Amino acid sequence: MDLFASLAMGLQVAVTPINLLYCLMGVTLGTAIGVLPGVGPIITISLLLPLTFGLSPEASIIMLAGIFYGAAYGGSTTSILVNLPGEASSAVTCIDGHQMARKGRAGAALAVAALGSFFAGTVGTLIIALAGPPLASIAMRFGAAEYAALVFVALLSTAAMTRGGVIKGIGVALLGMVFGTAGSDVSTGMFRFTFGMAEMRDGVDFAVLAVGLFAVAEIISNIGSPQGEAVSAKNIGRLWPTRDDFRRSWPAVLRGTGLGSLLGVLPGAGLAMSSFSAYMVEKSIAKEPDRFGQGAVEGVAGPESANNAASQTAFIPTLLLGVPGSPTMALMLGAFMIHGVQPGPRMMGDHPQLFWGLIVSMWVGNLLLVVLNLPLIGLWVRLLRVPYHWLYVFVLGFACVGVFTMSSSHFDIYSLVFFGALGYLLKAAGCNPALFILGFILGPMFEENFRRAMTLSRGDPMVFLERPISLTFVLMGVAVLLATTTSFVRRGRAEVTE
Amino acid sequence: MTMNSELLTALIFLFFGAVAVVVGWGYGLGDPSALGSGAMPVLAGGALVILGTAQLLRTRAAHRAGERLASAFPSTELRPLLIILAAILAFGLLIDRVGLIPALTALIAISWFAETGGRWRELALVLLAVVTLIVAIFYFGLGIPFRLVAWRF
Repeated sequence: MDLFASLAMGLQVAVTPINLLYCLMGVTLGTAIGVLPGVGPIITISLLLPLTFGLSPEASIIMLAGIFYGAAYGGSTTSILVNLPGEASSAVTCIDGHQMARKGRAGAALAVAALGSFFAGTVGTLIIALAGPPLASIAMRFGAAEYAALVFVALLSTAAMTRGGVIKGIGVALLGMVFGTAGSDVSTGMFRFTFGMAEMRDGVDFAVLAVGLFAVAEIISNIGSPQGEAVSAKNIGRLWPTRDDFRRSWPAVLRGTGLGSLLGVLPGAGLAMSSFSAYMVEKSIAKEPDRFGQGAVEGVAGPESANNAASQTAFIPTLLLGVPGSPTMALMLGAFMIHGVQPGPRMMGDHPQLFWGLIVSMWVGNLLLVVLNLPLIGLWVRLLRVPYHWLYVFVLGFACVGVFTMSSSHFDIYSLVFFGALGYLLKAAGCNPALFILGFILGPMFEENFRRAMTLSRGDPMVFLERPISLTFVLMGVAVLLATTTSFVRRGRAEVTE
Repeated sequence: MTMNSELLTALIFLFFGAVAVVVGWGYGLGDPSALGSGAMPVLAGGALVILGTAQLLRTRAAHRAGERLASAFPSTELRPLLIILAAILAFGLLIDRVGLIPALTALIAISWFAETGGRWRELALVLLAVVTLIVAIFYFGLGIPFRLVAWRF
């Protein structure tokens, strides 16, 4: 009963004409940028972040939710049509989705992906609405020690699970933490790492950091590397899936949704694991597993639903605990905080309009994607055919002007040069810059709670092990670390003996 | 020994870790019940130094074992790196002095040459299209009060 009252309130916020317009703008812009080859959701969100600046908190958050889903949908479109995944989670969609496109069934693949995602998104929204209130009341009891331990687990498990090895993963996250300490210290008011620059007193600007690390660095490394071949619009084929497609897809959508909803909540596991495991499940239970890799519709429906369900339930730790479980979520959290919205267990009680408005907007965003963007597929395909050397100058101009509009300071533009160079160096070193963002957002949170917990315990570090919830988190972190380092040592030995 | 990606990782970690420890130390560590402003930078920076050292040792071991790793900087990427960064820098230097349209023109014209073989006639077309689009989005669409053309040195 309460659930419906809350959802109805959210609906009231989300469907005011002006907010609906912002949601639509977010979805459309997110898809338009996200569909560009090699541009993943993280780049899309950071590029479009400056556009939300002048808006009210509600409107900006609703637009961000739209951008988030538009970017994800744009990413799947590119995977299916061009075989160029923007991020790890849509790599699986490439396998069968692109095969369908090559057989002239791109339209059906895109429609199945969109419809499956919409179903998964609906279920995910309901899960957040159901799990929200009880989880928030548990989280309210978290003290500083529990928060510090939770952030520790989230950071460690995400860092340990990325490609490139555990040293690089944890190192990049630590690097982000160091940059996160710049600016005035909340506890003492001391200015840190400002190096005498007045502009640095508020710390490193989050949006500048994101645009530099992702958009600028990506452009630099993309120029010169060859691009994939786009399927021309003529070959899109019929948009509406056949009866056979429906028959094969709906069980896959159900399984993918269930799997994704579960995995999305876990920190670190994230989207990539959900879509990958959904694909494995579909392949292992299929009657004719040989069809996979040849354009099996289940291979699109399962992972895409899992992906979308997971990206929905990933908002649970982000919104209810204020602790993001993935780099994309860290980016969303950073964006919320720029607008003065602090997600956490109190958000639901203190700003119910904002909280439920966001939840319902996510669902509305999903709906808009199916209703409006699917028929526009021809337009997105045309965007894919714009040559890269036209695209990058536009993206670069957009990035610079966007960053400049935020504070009208050329210091931000010089910072953009610095972070562009740093992002390129990290990429060249094989380190994932996405983890930098996670460390940057989680670092200050960890520091604040760690210091508070130490003060409350009068300097006794045992506080983290004496409290049961905190102890559980610490043990989880240690387990993740052990599991990854032992496999790492084994592989290291194998390398030496070879 | 070429600058491969493993060595580069070690150097990045060691450099930023060392800066964080040295500068952070000056902010004061405090004591356990009241950690100072320098505690977290020193802790995170120290961990970075340790990871950087471990990475350096691994790289040396791999080098001794005769492993050859490719350079982290392919020569094809050096040109885009320098030109793109120079273009952004030029935008930053110009935006306050000459206004949005000239600064944007400089940004696009410089970055155009990041890719080899860009043609001049096409550049004129791109300039017109991109400047129009961006001015339309930010100046007219979002109503941000830019000086479109200014002259202040």
